[in-house]
Amino acid sequence: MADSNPFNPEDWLEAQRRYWDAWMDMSRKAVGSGGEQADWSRALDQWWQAAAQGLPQGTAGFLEPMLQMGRNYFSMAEQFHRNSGGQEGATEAVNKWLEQMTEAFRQMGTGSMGGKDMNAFWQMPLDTWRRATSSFMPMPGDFMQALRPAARPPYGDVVQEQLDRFLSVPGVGYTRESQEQYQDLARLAMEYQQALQNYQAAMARVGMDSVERFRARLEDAGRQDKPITSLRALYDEWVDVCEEVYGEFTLSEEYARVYGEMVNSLMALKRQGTRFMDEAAESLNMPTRREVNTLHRRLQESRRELHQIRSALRELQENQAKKGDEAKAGAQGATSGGSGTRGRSARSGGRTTAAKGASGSGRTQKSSAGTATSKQTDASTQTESKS
Amino acid sequence: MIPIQIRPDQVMDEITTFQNKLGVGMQNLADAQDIPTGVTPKEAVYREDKLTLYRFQPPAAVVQNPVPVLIVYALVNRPYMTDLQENRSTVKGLLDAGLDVYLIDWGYPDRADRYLTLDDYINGYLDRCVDEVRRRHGVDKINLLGICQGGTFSLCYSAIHPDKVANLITMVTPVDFQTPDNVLSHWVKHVDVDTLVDTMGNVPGELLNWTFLTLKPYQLMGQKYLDMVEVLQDKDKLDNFLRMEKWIFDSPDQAGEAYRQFIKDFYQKNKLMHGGLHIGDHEVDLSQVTMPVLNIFAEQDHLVPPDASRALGKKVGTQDYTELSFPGGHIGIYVSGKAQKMVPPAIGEWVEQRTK
Repeated sequence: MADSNPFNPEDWLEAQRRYWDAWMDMSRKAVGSGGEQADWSRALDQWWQAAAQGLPQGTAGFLEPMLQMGRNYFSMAEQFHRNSGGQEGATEAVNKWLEQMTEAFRQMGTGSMGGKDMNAFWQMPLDTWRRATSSFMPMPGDFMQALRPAARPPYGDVVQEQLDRFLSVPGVGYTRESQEQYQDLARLAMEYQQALQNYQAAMARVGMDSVERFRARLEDAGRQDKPITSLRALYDEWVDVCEEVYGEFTLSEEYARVYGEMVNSLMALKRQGTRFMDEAAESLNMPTRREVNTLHRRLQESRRELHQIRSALRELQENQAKKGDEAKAGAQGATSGGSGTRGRSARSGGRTTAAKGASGSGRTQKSSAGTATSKQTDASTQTESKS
Repeated sequence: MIPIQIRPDQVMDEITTFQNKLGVGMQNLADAQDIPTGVTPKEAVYREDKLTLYRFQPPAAVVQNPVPVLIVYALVNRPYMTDLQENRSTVKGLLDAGLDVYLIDWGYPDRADRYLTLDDYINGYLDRCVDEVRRRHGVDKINLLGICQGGTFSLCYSAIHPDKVANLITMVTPVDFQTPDNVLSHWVKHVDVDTLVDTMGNVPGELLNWTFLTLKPYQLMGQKYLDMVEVLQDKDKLDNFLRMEKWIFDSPDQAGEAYRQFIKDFYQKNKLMHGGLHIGDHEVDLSQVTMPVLNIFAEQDHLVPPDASRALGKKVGTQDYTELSFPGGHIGIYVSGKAQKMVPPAIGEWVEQRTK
């Protein structure tokens, strides 16, 4: 039987090894000559394009997040490496890297996208939001991007003002209602884009705060004589700081507000889009979402009632059976002259079915694991009893 | 002075090593088969709509407690987290501790389930599962083990139907939804849940995933994947990683009406703490929780902070209330090696002591 894996590991590994050897060789030469520096994140992209062709279907998609992180990591290494070449030391390289990030965050705050890979790291919450919501957006993402209000005055405000005026023109004539609906849709789209932009601007500020705290953290490490000795340690420290600053921000009132506005404005836009779709479906004599919702609601209500009726019926039947049993027992008692006894059967949701599959009798053996922990008294494990 | 001691050639070496690991590890990834989850043998004993009630097969050598335990998991993720793999299985630990274990799998709601309410889940599905287990064992009361949101459901259920619950165990269960460190509660403060549900119908799992990932975005969407490169070489570790990755992104959509009430009444109005919570026609009063309660929480839980769970102690009516504090996080409490040794045996012993 042929190997079902089309991916030939040995050839592939050898090919990728050669590829990276060549890149690293070039990078080393560049450092020595002071010539053009290596673009490692681009190298990773090119390598990935070639490598992905040999991978089984489905694997490539799974690896994408890892590659995305690899790009960010490589980008950080690249900047660090570039700046620490020649006469400049590692400290200077970090300072430059921090300055570049501050600048990138400043641009991000104005709505433009600087420093693609580094910003990709910081854009993760927003980027994931766009991906998560893309499946239920009424319009493609690029279209939404085009509606983004111009960010900076003086032109931004003027453009915004003109758009607002245009969207406020009263509808007239036969298509009045339709015109107003389109105006509402455009307004809601702009509100959503504004909310997205506010979120992005807030995150950019958090990014700048992170840079400052990172710098302070490094200086503190310097005072304590705890040097950072690897790129990965530097990256991990950076992630820790980012989480710390982000975590504080997300507990602020400002975050709750920008988050709420982003969700609410998207929902308002989506609802307006659904109205349009419903009208289109109705005009084609097709079921609308509104109608399907009505059907689902009524169906669920009927099912709920059905369960209640079944439950009431079962109770009635049981009561009746119980009375029958009592009457029978009474009759037997009268016939025999003795006193009747009533066994207690398990009550089971109104049913008296005998146990099935029950574990039954007494317990003679107990798992050793079952005696382990509730009496532990070490610092990390506490049990506390009110009884 | 910034204390960086990294030479340029060292950076290149790190990148080369990283790349080599990635390349070699991709062979393991390419060879990876579908990763099984939910490893303990079980049989479906009851089905209704998309719900399945399972009973796990007990080990032959262990004699079981006569009162079965029903695990009630959250709606927001899949319950196989409790039985992830052979050596990381809360279910297996409970079986080994002598418990007869049932579990509710809520399934994946679709748009036809949009009008399922919390009343349908708690007084409908859950109640019928409890009745089914009682019927099978011929007992009046069973043990409930509620996990996370499932713990909140179990609490509500126990308050409404105390006559059917012998002992209640809650794991990482939110009770006070508005402790200062409750990030999720803070985030939904200004969310218009009515518009959200009226617009979306069901709430997409992707949206919930986004929410959970953005609790710690740089670790969960970034650093984690760099760490993954380190485990690519080790087949077992890679399988563990993939299993967890599958679970994290396996998020069912949420039935719209149930979600609406859960967010509004629990997160936004904190009614479980302050009172006024109604599930269907029943008012939920935690003082009616009169059966013994074991409340287990995780000390580093970023989803359900310890104080959110601890609040239960002052609310329940029972005099037999025990807390167990686990030194780990919200997920570690099911899957870490430490949890396997500590949590299921503790539950087994606690139940055993209260089984007459």
